[in-house]
Amino acid sequence: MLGVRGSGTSSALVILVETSIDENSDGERMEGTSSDDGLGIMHTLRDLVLFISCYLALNLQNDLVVLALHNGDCHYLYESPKSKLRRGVRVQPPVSDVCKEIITRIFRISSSPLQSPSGDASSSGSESPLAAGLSMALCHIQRLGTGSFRGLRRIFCLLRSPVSQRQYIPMMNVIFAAQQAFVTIDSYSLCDMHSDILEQAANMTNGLHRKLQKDGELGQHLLTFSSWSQTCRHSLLPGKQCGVDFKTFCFCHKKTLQRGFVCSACLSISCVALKTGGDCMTCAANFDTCS
Amino acid sequence: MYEPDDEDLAAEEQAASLKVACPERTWEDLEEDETGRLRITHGDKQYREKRRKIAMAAANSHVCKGMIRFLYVVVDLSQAVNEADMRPSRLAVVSGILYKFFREYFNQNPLSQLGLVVTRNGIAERLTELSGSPESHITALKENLEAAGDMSIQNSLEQVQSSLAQLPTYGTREVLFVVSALSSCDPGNVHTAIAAAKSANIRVSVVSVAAELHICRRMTEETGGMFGVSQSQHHLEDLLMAHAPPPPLNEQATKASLVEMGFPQKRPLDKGAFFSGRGGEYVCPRCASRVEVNPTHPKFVENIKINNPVTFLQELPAQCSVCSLTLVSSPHLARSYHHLFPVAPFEVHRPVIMQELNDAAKLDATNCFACNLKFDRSGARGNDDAPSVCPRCKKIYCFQCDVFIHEKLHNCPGCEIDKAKGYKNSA
Ligand SMILES: [Zn+2]
Ligand SMILES: [Zn+2]
Ligand SMILES: [Zn+2]
Ligand SMILES: [Zn+2]
Ligand SMILES: [Zn+2]
Repeated sequence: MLGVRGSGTSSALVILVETSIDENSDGERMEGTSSDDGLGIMHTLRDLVLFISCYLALNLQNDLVVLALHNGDCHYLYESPKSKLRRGVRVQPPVSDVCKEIITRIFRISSSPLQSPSGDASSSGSESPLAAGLSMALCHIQRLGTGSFRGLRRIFCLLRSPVSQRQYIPMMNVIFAAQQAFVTIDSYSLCDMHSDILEQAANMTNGLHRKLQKDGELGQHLLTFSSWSQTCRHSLLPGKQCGVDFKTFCFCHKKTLQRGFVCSACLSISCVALKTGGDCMTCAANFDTCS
Repeated sequence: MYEPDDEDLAAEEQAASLKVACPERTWEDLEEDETGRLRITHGDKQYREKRRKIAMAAANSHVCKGMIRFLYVVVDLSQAVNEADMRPSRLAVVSGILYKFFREYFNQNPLSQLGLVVTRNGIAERLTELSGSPESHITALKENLEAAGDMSIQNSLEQVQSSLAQLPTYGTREVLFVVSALSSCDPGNVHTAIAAAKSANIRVSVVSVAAELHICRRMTEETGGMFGVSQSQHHLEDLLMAHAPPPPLNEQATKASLVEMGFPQKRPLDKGAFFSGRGGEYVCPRCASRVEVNPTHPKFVENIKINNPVTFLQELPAQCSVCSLTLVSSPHLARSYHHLFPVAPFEVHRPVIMQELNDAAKLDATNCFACNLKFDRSGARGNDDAPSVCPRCKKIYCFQCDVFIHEKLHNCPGCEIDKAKGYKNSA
């Protein structure tokens, strides 16, 4: 399923997991006492480790990279070793070591006080830099080279907080770059808020997007849907998937629009037509004699 | 005594001709990478070229661009394209590059249109009208690749001018000639056709496969276009691809304006509806009529599946058949937003600075921030592929990521992290 056909086809997977701990709701869960809805960080990590070991066990050639989005920063947690070839076969460390390394790095990141002197307490409540994390994932994938990896390269995001519309433009840049490189973006959002942008990302890159709420769903989903390869996806039905809403927002007020006015010089959208003359608010092109 | 027979001589001749055909693939350019595979390198020249390109794109980023373009590509299919100075022939090379160009053009100019004209036997034939689907142009060109006779600049110009002159003034009107011949067969005075094109605000550019023609250079100079003569197959591709990004806006010729557009929602027809009428899945937001989007020709479906797995991009933009409102979807517009918010060019990171950093910072500075590649400890692998540093977020990137970030991704990961830190979750 994960490119197990023969030892020649390996796949590359970049996992992006949000590990920020929300003090309000995750505090008790960290103690391991209450596990009411199964959305706590410990549950997420447990299911993720299960998925990682399954992924690595399927094919020794599989490439794995794990990135953490933590308190407004992005860290590399794990990277499959390179250039260790023995008779053409890469030597992978045992799966248990991989998982151990990932977990210890997560704890090191979350236990250490914010390293940068400038990043004071304010950064802990900020939005996850999803666009940055995906950009790093794509940079890593492009270094693996094209050709041999074609069709089997994926990014997988596990998000625990919503992404706002303010990351729209960098997110769209990521999506287009992923499209061109034939990289699939799968995502799971483990929060109540809807994230349109991840839904669009999945839709435009042939990926899957799921919103999970119930206990124990994550592990099951990870082991079924997320292990589908690109070829499988054409023949399998991923269950109910509602239509994607490509909402359009105006640049001036971030209002949702059905009809708008587009500047012909920069394609920015505004919700009001300037009567006579005036400049474009985004690119300052002059509309003097517009009809 | 051994005497070379005909077969040996023929083989030798073939080897010699191959050497002439691909002089750039010399063994000196091969290098072994860390996994033991052989790679072709072009050495420092390539790095310098890439850095120059990024710097140039950044220098032009503040210039207003003509994002809505109407471009006719005129392909010279005279006898000259059968010359074999490019392998296997000029025609095969040119058409191959053109297919790539069509896709790249629509990739970079999502709301623009393109039309195709071929000129042979002294006449000009319009193969496709202006439209927004790359696959239809590719199919049309593939089916019309017979070359014969001479090309005609005047006929081609007159052919495209009649179509371009009626278009709205907010779009740039362009013609791109791909010329192989060294002569033009014109029924009248070609200079009057050039003057007419100039007065219709048409920007004529020429890419010549063979050599510089006076009339071509004159034509581009008069109308403000670009002129280039290819030196090799690679250079030809570079020259053609240079026409894919939007050109700077010519203030006199093109009036920037606000164009009303609709962003329709997909509302599939109810299967149980008593009367479905005609129409597709989109609803025009101005007149509420159902809009049939560009019907995808079954011939293209296979092509689209291979080259563009995201079929929805083929459906829009479209025009409402009732009120003629242009219908687009927001991802189309977003494709060009990187022109508005470009990534600043990175500077060369000097290893000298590394020694000045304290130990903790040094640890951070040894990996590429984006791809986590470990840098060479020596840092002395030549100046041109040295790591780069972003002037805004001060993060260090390897050269490969630098190029990828500026040419494909258009996001600096470090800067995005800094920006996201400003977004409060509660807001
Ligand atoms: Zn507005
Ligand atoms: Zn504008
Ligand atoms: Zn309408
Ligand atoms: Zn890098
Ligand atoms: Zn930066």
